[in-house]
Amino acid sequence: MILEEEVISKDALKLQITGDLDAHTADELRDSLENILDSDHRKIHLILDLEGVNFIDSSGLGVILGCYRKVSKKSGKVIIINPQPHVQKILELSGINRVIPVVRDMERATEMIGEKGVEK
Amino acid sequence: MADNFARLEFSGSTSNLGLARVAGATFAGNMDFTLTEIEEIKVALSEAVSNAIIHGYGEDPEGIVRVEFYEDNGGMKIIVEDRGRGMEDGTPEEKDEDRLGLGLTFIKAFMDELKIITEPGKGTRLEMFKKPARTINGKDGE
Repeated sequence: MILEEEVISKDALKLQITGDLDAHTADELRDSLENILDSDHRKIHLILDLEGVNFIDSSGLGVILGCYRKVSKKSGKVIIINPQPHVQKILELSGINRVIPVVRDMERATEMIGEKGVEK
Repeated sequence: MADNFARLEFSGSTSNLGLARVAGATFAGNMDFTLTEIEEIKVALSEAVSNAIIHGYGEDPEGIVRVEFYEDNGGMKIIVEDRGRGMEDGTPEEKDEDRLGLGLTFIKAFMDELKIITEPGKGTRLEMFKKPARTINGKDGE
């Protein structure tokens, strides 16, 4: 499991996740997300790019929902972009897409967090 | 000629989840399942094996998880078995907050049949079955 960060703006980060999200990688992802959120309290919005996620089960969903809870406490937003079709299906079946928006592209995601441009 | 089968045993470590999924997907790939159905089988199998490792053995790598695949009655039968804690009332209740209690939900959603045999102190056996939609509906029934 690989996690790459990209600063979108002063209060938003994009995290590109690659690999399988299951019980084996869940702890690693959870720890990484917590470290990222704790290291800069100004970053309250997260865009999770799941294009590189080949597999997700309930363990992976649990980490994403935990991240959502942490971000929500700071009045931030979590948005998921680019899930592969079979990952999208899992998001829908679990109902997570009812609390965390799932969109197709960055433009839509940045609109939703109220960002008009990308910070260079 | 006997129907195809495969058997896998591994230690109760989550590092073996990927191995189980690849084995299940490869076995299913020899049958008439679509790619979508194979992804569903992978999820169901991952949940079942995760249950065995996490709930059956508490992630103790000394525990052994056994997974069997069978071509059976036009479909794929999967058995996931552990000799761990077992469950009390035979109707497993997901209290695993980390996994949102969704493990069995996904198994039931993606497999056609599920049978759970469990006894406290004697382990748990999940038997799952899925038939390719193409064999149910005919070749055009996708």
